[in-house]
Amino acid sequence: MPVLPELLSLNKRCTSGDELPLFFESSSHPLYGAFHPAETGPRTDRVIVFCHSLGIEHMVAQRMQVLGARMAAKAGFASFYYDSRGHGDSAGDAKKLTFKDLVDDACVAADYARKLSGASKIIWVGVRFGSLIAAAAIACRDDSAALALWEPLHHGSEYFKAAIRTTLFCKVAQGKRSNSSVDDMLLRLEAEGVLPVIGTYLYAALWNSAINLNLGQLLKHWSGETLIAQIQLRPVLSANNQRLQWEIQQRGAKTAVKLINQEPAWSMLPLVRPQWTNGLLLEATKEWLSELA
Amino acid sequence: MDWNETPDLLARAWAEQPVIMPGPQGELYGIFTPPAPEAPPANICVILFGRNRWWCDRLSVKSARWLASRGFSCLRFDYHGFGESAGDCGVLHGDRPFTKDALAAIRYMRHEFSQKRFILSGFCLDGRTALSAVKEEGKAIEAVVCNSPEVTGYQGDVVTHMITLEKIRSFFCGSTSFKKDMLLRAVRRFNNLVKLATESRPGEALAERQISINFKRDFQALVRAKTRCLFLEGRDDSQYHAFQLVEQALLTKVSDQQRARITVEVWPGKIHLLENPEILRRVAERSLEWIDLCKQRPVSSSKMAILDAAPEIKMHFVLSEEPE
Repeated sequence: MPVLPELLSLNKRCTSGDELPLFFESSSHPLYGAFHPAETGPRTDRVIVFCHSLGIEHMVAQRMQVLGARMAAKAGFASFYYDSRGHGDSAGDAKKLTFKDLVDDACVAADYARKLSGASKIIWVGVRFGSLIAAAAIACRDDSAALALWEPLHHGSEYFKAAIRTTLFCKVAQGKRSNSSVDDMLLRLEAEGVLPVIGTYLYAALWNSAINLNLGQLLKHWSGETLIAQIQLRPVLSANNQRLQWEIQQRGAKTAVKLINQEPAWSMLPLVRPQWTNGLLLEATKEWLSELA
Repeated sequence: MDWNETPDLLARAWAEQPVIMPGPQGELYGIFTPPAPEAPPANICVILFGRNRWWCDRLSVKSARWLASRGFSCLRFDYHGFGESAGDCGVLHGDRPFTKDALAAIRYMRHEFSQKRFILSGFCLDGRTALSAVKEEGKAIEAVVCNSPEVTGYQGDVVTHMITLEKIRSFFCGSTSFKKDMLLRAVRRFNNLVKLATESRPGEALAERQISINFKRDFQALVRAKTRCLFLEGRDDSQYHAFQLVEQALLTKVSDQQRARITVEVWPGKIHLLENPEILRRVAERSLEWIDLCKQRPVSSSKMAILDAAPEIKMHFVLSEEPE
């Protein structure tokens, strides 16, 4: 894989300031990513890697990742976001994707980000399902410095259930009755291998590989600095987030919590309004980054 | 069409290049897909508009690679305020397309990639964006695909479809909150119609006034520029109910030769179902098929072939055929 100076000279059409959109390779597929070098007081020993959520959730949260990376770069942190196989501008077939593939892509992205930035440590930012990916990546590496979780999913099945619930809700909102429950639709997914939901499809390969994932379990050895950013219309931490915070603190790690009083429509297409953004979340993440040891 | 990734499409993915283009509100980020070297060159750049540049089910990503495998260059990019692009886009409105972004993209492709001929494609607001670029760049635009666009300047159904049996049924069967919502919408629509009725638009009856001035202007530019256009509609969509005004008030006023360049396909049922990825795939397939035919029959040809209609719509409309 080419390193930064080579990339900059390769194609002058794709740089903005120091921001560098690019393609890199994972499992014989080109993946899209964008590298943001630190703009001020560079902390070259750490680079931030964003792990995105899936399907329409990825579309919803994409702009926040971009803004997050730009914010981090201004705050002195090199950062990198990428699209996994079968997502965004990357190659790959979502139909065949498994959770292991997503974790492999995250690790390749992290290695590439380290190479581009010269950093020795990774600060992971997991967005929704991306929290599970980041947690699994952390479990198989020894270079993770910190972890930020943006509205983390605590179980792999939550993504699928949320997408199905939104689809059923849309039918009701159109004045139609649905004869199926979420569980019925999951059975259909398992039987047929594919299930259409809002704006995309769910695939059995990923469902089967993600159904038993548990964020707490994946992070059972994690004792690094952690931010839990809960993005819900709820004045207190949810039971799952409370439990996760307690578990990490029990291992002697410093955890920060931020409650963002908003509930984006994660599984709805961002078409009639712009993609979701939240200044408070960016500020909270920036503050947390600045306090990292 | 098989939407799974084939080795050919993977090869197109390997050839893709990120681009950053100057736009009216800052930089616009996109992906350029060069044509497959082994395919006969189409010498046309297809710009696929969408929010964001991947579109639902990543259809723009897959479409770009499919078109590139058939000799087209392709560009997909984020409008300002979307994806990686700079700026803020505010509230979206079906009658306010991203014209300046579209023009910036065309000019960048011309300047940086030496592209001379373009086909623009989009769904709903993105289709309107495609259409709106013709006024300034019509000479370079070979064709436009404008699927299920909004043609009025306001939300809601046109007069002829404000009250329907289906709506009455839904109203009485719906919950209290659903009923309240429907009533509020009805009031808003009535207010819109009162505003239209009092506007000064000489020579236009109330029915025609429901077509927005922006759409009329862009449609007239399309006709003048002799650009081909595909309008794909769903018979039961509110967007088609409004588009029927275009058929009655605008399409009847163009010459046979002008009419021959405009294809209107009306599919049974609804196509404006963004929650239904199967329908969106079928719409994308039809758009790609039509774009591919444009390559085979450039506009300079004196006779345009009759476009092969999807089987389920053959019975429902008459295809436009360019006179000899």
